[in-house]
Amino acid sequence: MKDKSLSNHVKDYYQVQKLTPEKLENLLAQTSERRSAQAETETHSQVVTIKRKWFLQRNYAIAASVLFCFIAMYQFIYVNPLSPEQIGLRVAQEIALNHNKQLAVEFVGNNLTYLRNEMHKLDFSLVASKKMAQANFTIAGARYCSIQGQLAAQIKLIDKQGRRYTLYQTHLSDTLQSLPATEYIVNGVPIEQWREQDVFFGLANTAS
Amino acid sequence: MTQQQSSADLAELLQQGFRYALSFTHERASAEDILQDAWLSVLNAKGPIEKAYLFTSIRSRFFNQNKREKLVPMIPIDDHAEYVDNQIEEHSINFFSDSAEIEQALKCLRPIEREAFFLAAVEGYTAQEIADLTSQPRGTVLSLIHRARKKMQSYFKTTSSEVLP
Repeated sequence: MKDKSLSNHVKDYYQVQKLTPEKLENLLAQTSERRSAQAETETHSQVVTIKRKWFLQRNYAIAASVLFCFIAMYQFIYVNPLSPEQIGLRVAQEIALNHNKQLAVEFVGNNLTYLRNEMHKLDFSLVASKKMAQANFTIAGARYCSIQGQLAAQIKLIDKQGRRYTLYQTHLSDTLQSLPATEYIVNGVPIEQWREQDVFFGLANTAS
Repeated sequence: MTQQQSSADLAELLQQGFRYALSFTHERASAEDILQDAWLSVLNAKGPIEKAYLFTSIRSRFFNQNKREKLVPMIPIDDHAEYVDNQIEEHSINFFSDSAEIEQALKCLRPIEREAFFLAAVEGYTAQEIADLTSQPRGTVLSLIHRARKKMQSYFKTTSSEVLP
């Protein structure tokens, strides 16, 4: 030992200094406990994070669904308007409904000139249809009604056999402009639609 | 070191930390207390357990527990030039023979002198590494080591002359 340097002696002195086994064991046990607790906390925080993510994703999904519904409704209502055939059918249904109500006439008269003068609320002039010229209908009277939200004239007609008809005339709007001349049978009521000049015509027949 | 440190690694690190704490306190019980506090602090940091971090933690705990002004009086850097970087004088010491004498000699040193000497002689740190660890100028570290050596040599000379008339 006498040959050793001072630093070697100091080194030897410190090298033999050690924690007691109990103390060392205690510190290592604390280490394990602390690490377990930290791992548990990390797991818990991971679970919380996952839950939070799930809630966020769910909320995003709900928001996306609502947005999608709005867009779909917008598309359905505004962007994808009804086809002319669908509109024609709706008009036919409206005509059949009005026809079946068989409401009393407001203006009693047997000629179109009289009705034209009386029904001054109309934004168009009643027209004598060329298509119906040879049918020899007798006019029984007329009343106001509406087709597709616009004011129309509902004219009651009777043919030679005494069968009752209802003729509808309204201004030819952009929507009605596109309708082809077609025939429908709605609720057993035969309905014929056509256009003449700037007027839309619809004829419902009770007899058949 | 990584998170997957084995028990053996941790045990060795704890022993090194204990010796380092002992170099400050020169008393087992308080060294254990400081190590305990520092170890918990390192564990709470949640990262890998680094030796440098443990040593820094031990050091700051020692100085926090004791008044720095009282235990670490400032000394002028006057004679550190006598010391060559990382070259602890290797004079043969013939004046002592057992660890009890070494312990007494170390007791004569101030804590920061013991710390510097410990890091150089036991841990094998260079003066620059000690300076980095302790946040002191390298010159101060050299001076501390030199003074520690002188004090210990002086102690052994004194005891030797008492024993051998």
